[in-house]
Amino acid sequence: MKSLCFGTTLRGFAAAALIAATALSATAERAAAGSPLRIASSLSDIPNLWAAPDGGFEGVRFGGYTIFDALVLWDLSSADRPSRLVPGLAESWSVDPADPKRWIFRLREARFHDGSPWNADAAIWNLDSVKNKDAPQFHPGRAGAAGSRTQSIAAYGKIDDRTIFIETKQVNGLLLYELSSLFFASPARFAEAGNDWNAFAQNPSGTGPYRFVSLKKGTELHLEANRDYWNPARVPKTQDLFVLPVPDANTRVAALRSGQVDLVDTLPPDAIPSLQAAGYTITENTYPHTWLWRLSFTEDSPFADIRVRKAANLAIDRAAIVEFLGGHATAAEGFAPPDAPWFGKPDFKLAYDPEAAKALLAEAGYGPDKPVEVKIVISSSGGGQMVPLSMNEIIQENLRAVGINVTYDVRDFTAMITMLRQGAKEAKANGINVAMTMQEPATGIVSYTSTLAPPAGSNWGFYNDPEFDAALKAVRAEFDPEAQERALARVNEALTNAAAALLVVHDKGPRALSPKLKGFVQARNWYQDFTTIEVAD
Amino acid sequence: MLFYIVRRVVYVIPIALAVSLVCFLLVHIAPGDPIDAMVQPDTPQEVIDRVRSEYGLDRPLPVQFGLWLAKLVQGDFGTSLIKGRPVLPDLVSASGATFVLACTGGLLGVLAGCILGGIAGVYRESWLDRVLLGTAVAGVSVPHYWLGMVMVIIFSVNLNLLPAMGSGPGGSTAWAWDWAHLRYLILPSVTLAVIPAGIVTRTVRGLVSDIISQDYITTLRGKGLRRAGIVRHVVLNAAPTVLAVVGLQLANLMGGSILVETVFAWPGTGMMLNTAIFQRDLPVLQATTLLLALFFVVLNLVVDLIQTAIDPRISRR
Amino acid sequence: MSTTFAPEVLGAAKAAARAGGQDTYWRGVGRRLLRDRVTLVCGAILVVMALLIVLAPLIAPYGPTDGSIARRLKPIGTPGYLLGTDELGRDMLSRLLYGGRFSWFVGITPVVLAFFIGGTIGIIAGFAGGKTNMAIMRVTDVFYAFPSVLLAVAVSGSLGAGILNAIMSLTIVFIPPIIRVAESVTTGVRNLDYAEAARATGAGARSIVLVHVLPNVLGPIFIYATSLVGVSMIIASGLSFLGLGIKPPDPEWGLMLNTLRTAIYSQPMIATLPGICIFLTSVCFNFVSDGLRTAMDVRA
Repeated sequence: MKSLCFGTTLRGFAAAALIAATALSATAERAAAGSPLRIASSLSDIPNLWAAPDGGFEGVRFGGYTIFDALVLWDLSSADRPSRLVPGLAESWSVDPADPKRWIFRLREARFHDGSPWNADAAIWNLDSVKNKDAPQFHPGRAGAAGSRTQSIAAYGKIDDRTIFIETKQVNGLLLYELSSLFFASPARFAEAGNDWNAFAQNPSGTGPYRFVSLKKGTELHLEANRDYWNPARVPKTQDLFVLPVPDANTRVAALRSGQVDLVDTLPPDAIPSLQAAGYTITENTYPHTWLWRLSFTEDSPFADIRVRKAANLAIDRAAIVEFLGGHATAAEGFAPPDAPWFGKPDFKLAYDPEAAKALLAEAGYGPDKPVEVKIVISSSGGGQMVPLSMNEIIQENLRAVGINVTYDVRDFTAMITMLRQGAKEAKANGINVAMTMQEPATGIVSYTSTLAPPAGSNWGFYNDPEFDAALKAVRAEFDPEAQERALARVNEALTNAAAALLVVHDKGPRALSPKLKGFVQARNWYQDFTTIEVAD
Repeated sequence: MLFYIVRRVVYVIPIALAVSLVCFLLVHIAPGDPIDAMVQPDTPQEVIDRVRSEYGLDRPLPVQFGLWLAKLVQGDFGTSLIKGRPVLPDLVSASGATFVLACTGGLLGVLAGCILGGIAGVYRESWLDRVLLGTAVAGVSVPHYWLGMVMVIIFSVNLNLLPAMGSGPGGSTAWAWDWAHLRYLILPSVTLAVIPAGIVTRTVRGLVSDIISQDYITTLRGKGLRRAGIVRHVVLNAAPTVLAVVGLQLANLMGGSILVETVFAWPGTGMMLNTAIFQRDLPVLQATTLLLALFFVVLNLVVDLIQTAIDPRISRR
Repeated sequence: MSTTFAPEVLGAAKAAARAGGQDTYWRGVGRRLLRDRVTLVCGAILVVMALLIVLAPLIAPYGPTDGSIARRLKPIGTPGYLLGTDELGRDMLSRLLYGGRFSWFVGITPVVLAFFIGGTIGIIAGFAGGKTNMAIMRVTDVFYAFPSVLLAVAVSGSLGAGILNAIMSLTIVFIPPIIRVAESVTTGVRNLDYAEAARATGAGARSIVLVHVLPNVLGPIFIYATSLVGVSMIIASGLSFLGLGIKPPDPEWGLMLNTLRTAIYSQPMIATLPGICIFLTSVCFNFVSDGLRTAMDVRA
């Protein structure tokens, strides 16, 4: 045992010396740095830094938007209005008037961190890396991770050095949303890394506001400001950024309170009052997220009857759930958050009215001696699931009060996602508690399309509503952002009026900041801009 | 005896094979499709099927096991489904972190156990013995992950003395035995030391009081041997058994630090395992379980050989 | 943390055999137990806890899932809520009483199952000897090659969360060490003089097992099993803590510890209560197990 210990120590020393040597030269090159910004994220590990991050939206927040850019980006500069798409690596775009499936993107002047130029060749090389199985830079796992971003793309090509085109399979007015998290990596660095994406991920190069410095697996990602960023307004105000993956919420809070980190993502509601009392800043904002039960509409499901769906929605005491969450959530009034630009005017009001719920159930043929029996798949944790166990316990009580008996099938998050994809028939359940993102209409509500019923797509409950299908088709046919929002409002109205889900709350994504931090703006978005933060010494 | 040793060493091979079969099957009885952890929920079926076949997950189980084993023998522990990179380097760095933690925790536990157990054994049946024994039982009975949480509240949050999580200061990429790193080791290793401390205390107490009450010690004492001499005798007689217990405890700590690593965000095999379970990252799960189990097998072997060496009377089949 | 006591229980079996008549032996054990105040007190605590848990529906002031957000996280001593309320406004006292049912069930059932399954297999292996013994013990070795927490986590992680899966994984964890103890004790007793003598007088295998082996080996195996209950409760609560154990809304101490963790800054005492319950139960089981071992081993 002794000799083993010694061996590891020796190896440790050697490694440390090596790293110290490289770190030293790196430090010499860097400008004199002030206090670093250290962020504890809820990720369980550093996302893959190969321009196709894993770890869902959190992964994109730290492993995508920091080092890399997409053709279009979310404008994260305002807390007061919903974020919208703005030009990123494409400085402008247009749709071919003759063929609405053909998009032309004009690329901006920019350079990768390694100095190589961003141009049409680099763009096509990147599209090949996820679309073209025969390209040497194609990697199946990486392509899988980017799969949902590229599924509507049929063809692409270079027009000139600064211009490319992308053709979609169908007319798709939502393409820009899909492209907002398809990231571009440096082909030069890939070649340097021996044409190996794994080696690339150990020393990545993109065009983003942060450059990669070092990576300690499972523990820490060190980035530094990219002083040559193409958008001078977004050159980071703090030289060094550390991202620490800390999956356990309590450990994150303890790390903040012991001064190990400066900013904490995804706070547990119960920790907030004591953090406020201790002088920490709490920021929060509505963002495009809906905590709901996706329901099954198959014949044997009680939820096939709209009266049962409406009754369930009227039975939920959302105010109590918001109170349980310490007020750090918004009660749902529809699929979209109430302040979303495409909320519209749904007729069905999500009030708390147990009597009306009982009346509806009686009308549907249920009653005290014949309660509704449903089985719901839930998870004990997971991105966007908030505090799933406790929240579902409240809902279980609420529903029992009106005569709906709920049994839960608790799975781990990934197993639940598998069941989501397999569909309600396979899952043998009447509902599934997978929170929905409303960030991109393209990834959330699209799953209610009738043609996407399993196994073809993610229409878990086999929802089939011609009115909704038509409304969504109208959205895809729109290219003007404002007209598209108006069309999306019809979609929200159609789904809400049909009570197509058990709608509960929208998360406000509370974060805690050390009093040393200034300048953070929490955008109404899953992604956040950390470049504006200044750290006082 | 030599024959026994050779046989015992050779016997590790079938055990290792069977252990790897168990590790392999363990992850395949699991519900949940590993591909779902890799892709966005709305990824079309054709993409998923393609990824599945790229990773060979559509082949029959025996074929998958054979391929996995063949690669293992060549030192290829597989490729993470989530990270898309080989498991081995990550596994090596994670086991390094766990090894540091387990060794320190084990050492602390053994030290505390030997001291407390030694005192208790010498003063057997006294009030001191009762108190120490009570402490030992309490140590074995406390949910240690919970103790860790309580210590974080006291020492990190309230007193601001020690870091609450992690394995080193920002910017450091490798473990080092300096104060900057050791600060991070204190809380998790003390938490981890509680159970072995309790177990070792009980073992040492029993051994010491047994040895002391035996005739030859009385004879030695009668011959006027000084206190130091008697202590030496006791230590020499107790050492082999204690070593065996310590070996087992260390192996248990390597495999059992998952809860403590989760509480302290310590980047070891426990964290890796926990993440892999919830992401259904089969290759990582298999490789980590296998490595820890093999470590346990080897340590068991060593312990067994030590025991045979010190006490040939133990009948061995 | 599971095998260190094997040599000691073998001692107990030999002691029982040496003492000759079963009656005298057990009377001695009883006498020694009555003198051991620590064991008696711990045993009494366990009996009281067991009664409280069994009678929970009669004693508990509220149902385990009755709650209102309006009165969440009330401190200990709030009128009507002796031990305060949890994060969903449910009465902690009632939750702890009902929770004990699950914690005890998940802690004890695997040990009982493993006692019967592992004990039977181990006795067969020890008594049969030869190839049978070899086959059984080699398979046992394979499962024995996993550290207990690792095996529990890996099996539960594979099967998914749930009370039955947790019990199953813990049973799998405890069977191999119990087989080992049972086998070594049985082998030890089988080779003792009186068993040889019985065999020499022409007693059949069955009667040897029933008359001589069983009474002498069950005690030691039982003692060993009781020492596992504390471990079992801690691992079970650890599984719930990781999200691999019991599912809500069933109250279980490990799960309560998990869901109350975030309240540790606002109501530290309440967040601590389930931990104290786990600790108290585990300590008492360990002391009782120690006391039994001492009482049944006449070496001292």
